[in-house]
Amino acid sequence: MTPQSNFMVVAKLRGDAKAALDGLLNEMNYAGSPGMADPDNALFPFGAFDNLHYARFVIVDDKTLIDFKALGLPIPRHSLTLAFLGDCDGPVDDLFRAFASNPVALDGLKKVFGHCEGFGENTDLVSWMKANEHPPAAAYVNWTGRTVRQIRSEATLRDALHAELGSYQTMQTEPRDDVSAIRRHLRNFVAKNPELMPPPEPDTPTAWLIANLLHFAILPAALLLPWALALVFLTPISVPLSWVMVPFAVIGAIAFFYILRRANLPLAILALFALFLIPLLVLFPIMLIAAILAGIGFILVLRCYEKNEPEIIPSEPVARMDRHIASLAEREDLDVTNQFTVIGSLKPGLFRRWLSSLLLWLIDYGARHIYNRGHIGRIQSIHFARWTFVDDKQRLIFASNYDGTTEAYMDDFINKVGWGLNLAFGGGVGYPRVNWLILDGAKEEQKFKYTLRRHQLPTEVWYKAYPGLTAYDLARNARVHEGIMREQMNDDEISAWLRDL
Amino acid sequence: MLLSHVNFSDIQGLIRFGHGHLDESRLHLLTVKNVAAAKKWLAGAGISSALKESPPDTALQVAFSYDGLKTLGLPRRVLEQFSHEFRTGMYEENRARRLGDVDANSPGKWHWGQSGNSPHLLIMTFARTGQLAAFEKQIKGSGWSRAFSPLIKPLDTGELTGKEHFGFLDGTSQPKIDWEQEKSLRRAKTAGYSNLSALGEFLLGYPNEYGKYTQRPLLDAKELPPGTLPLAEDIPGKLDLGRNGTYLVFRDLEQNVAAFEDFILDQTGSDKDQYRALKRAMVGRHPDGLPIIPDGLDIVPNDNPGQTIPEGAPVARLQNLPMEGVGPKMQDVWLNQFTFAHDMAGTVCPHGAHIRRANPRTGDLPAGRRNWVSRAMRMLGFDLKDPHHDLVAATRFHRIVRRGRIFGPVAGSESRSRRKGKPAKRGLRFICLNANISRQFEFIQSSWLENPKFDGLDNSDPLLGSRASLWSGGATDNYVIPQDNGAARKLTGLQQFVTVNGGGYFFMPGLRALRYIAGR
Ligand code: HEM
Repeated sequence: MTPQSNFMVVAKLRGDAKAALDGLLNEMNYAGSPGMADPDNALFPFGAFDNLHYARFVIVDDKTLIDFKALGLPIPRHSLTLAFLGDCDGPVDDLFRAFASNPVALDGLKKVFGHCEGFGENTDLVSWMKANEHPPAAAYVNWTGRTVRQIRSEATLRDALHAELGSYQTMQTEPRDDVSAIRRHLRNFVAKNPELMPPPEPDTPTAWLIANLLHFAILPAALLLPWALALVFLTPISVPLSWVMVPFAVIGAIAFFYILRRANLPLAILALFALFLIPLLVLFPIMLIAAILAGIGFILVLRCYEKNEPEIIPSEPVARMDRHIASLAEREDLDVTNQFTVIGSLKPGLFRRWLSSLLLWLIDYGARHIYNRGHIGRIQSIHFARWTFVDDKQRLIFASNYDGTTEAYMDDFINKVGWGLNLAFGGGVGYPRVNWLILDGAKEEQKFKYTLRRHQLPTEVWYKAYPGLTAYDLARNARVHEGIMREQMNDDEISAWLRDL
Repeated sequence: MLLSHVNFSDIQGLIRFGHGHLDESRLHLLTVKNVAAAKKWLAGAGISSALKESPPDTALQVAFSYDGLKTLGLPRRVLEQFSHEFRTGMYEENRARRLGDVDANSPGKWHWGQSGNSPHLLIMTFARTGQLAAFEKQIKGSGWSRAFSPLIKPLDTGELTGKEHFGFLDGTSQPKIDWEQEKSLRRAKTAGYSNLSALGEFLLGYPNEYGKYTQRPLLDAKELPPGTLPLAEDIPGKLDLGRNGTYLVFRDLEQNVAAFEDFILDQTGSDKDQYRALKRAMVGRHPDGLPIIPDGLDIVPNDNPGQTIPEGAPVARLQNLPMEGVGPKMQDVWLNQFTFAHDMAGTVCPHGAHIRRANPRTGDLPAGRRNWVSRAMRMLGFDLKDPHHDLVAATRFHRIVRRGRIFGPVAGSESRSRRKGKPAKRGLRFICLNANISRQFEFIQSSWLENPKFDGLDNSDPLLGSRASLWSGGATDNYVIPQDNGAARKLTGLQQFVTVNGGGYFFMPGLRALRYIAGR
């Protein structure tokens, strides 16, 4: 398995470079289709990099800074920046080096970054890009390990099987419902055309595996910490430790296997560790008191902020907002997948800064270890997403690639994962008021949609390596691939597999 | 917050009644010739209210386009508060692309409704058979022709047989409007599918399915004499111009019945059973309106698909398992007490069938066991049983009340040999009502009907799809019928069976709001 990585290069624009850069970036797009990159354009040939999933150029022109006036604060000054971001297979360093060793790309990027401060004739592209990289606070990959090559070859395989199935059915002599005969035929077909089989994926890099495992261990370790503290420093109440643990061992085992069967191992492990905090509280009353006090303290502070921070949803002049929406909409719904880039400022104060950092760390952790198989929360339509702090954590950029219309995307946001959106964006200036970290907020449907649209940036250039394919399609093609490889399948399984064709 | 009772006499009748007993109807697309005369006519017009289906023999309704309201002189600060979709119009380029109004459907080819050729208002007349001409003569009086010019000839509507031209009973399923405002929006209640829709989904000025008030124009109470307009329920000191009004969406759709019939005949040959099977697979209902679901199996109560009814259960059993907003009439139970929760694979009703696309009948949470652990798992996005599970959720935010009528002569049997000469123009004057055009009508049209990737598919609606190919070149002119055992049946080469000839967004005001518009 080849893990995915991402990059985001952010650099200040030179004083008056915006218009020129706008024009230059647009040269990467298909004529007449703003925002849609031509993979073979003469400036930056995205298509030449076959480990690049998505990429985009965005000029970050944040029109919402004015909202600080409503907070009674000075309006922050942030200069215009250019952001170049993307998602790829394998390490980013390799990708950057590939950019630099492709003469067209090198030239194009130099032209583009020439509009940025600190980039001159003789600047070394790779080290400059690395110096200006902003690692994400949280990143989501729809399916960790699924490479561009795999996506493309699985699509080819599925199309070929689909066509073969069609012609087979017209000549079929066996009864239509003899599904194992159909499957046999298709497997023979692939055996005769071995080039159709996607090449096996290389082994997962050991270093990545170890790093990933250690990263996963952070949270269980954190949950064990109170136990360690208690056992070393405190005396339990007179109940013997082992007796208290028995019922929890039973409940823990049941919960563990239940979650394992319905969700996945990481979530089951986390649940187990979290569950075992309860006997700790039973055995060490002082821990219970400390937990209650800490909880009350946090809730008091949180509620104090949530209640007192003004909810500012400034109404833009209608004509300006209409123009803004048109500039977003003209780049949308051309292909089946859309891009989404928003920027917003964090509410002032250390509390918000720390809370947002913590919550985004948790989202990142969740995306990395729990949600890496086709969905984040209940949303199945996002290919890649990331949250990145910029300007010393004063602002946050969220960028994603999702299937379907914007309206459907926001509908999913509100109705399927409103709680998650509130966690991620509740600390943002202009976001509808969130209560208790997860309630309300996004459920303010129209305010929420307005805020998101208002904070959205028109993406100058957007590239997708597999147009026409949704996340659902990728998962389906992977099922088709898996099904052709399996030795044994019963009739029901074959029928389900055939329906995917 | 005190929820006031609904004042039916302030609501236009069309929202409550389809005027189904009034056989004749015409749709007048007009521009304002003389503002003063137009206001005078409107003020005295006697627009029908929703109080009762009266006067019994005729009805008259009116709705305005954004241009119309502008022409009638609504102040800018009021106009600006109407929704973005309404202000920028159905024909707006990016919207047209989303709605599938491309190629043959593109606004440039419309007979009416595109930029520069849009009506100011829509006046709808209804009367019993043979009485429409007299009624129109009476209401027009002398003022009409001074006030308005027709944008195009009045659009007539066809005989009310109950069937649309492809041969199916239409208007079978409608959301039930919660006039009493009793619907609970608690999480446990909305987890499953319900056919009861919050009043605010169809009337402005009332709480919608989010429990919120949809954006609409509000005025300062000080501006107008008391009583001119209703007070806004949610914001003190404001008058509500939207209250008791709604948005009316009009799509003038032409049906190519011959192409539709030919396609089905070509696919099925002379086999009558196959012919019927394919036809109903495309719609999701039998021509007489019955849904295609195995008897009893899918007739389930909310959020509890675990509890199924044995096959062939007597009708009486169904009454014990009510679905909110369906019934009590047995007819309605038979036609509408079902969901697709048991048919995730689409082997009974294909995912792409028109009624499954237009109303997927899903609750807020995918179906599953009733215990809270299972519920928590599903809320976190786990425990999905089928690849289609939870792709489409929370249907309750995307319902419309349909009030369209067919036009053109009713198609006889369209067997090819009997067809002579040029086919008559026929189709559907599709009209629907909703409080939030982008979340209701546009969502259904673009994200569900036209979106080729709806629910994991690769095609657009079998009846309505524009068949435009994907950006990447992929074809969308197919239809897939999943089979229980074996590969799905895939039909290709679907033509465009329905063409958009025009359309527009209108605001259908409450009657006090109408008096305000006409009286200023
Ligand atoms: C010429 C065009 C159309 C034809 C022939 C047509 C036909 C039908 C038929 C036969 C039904 C089943 C009967 C019923 O449930 O009432 C139906 C249902 C429905 N249609 Fe259409 N339709 C057309 C256009 C549209 C459009 C443009 C929309 C919306 C954007 C739409 C939305 C619906 C909805 C919401 C239902 C009810 C689904 C349910 O609740 O089960 N239809 N249509």
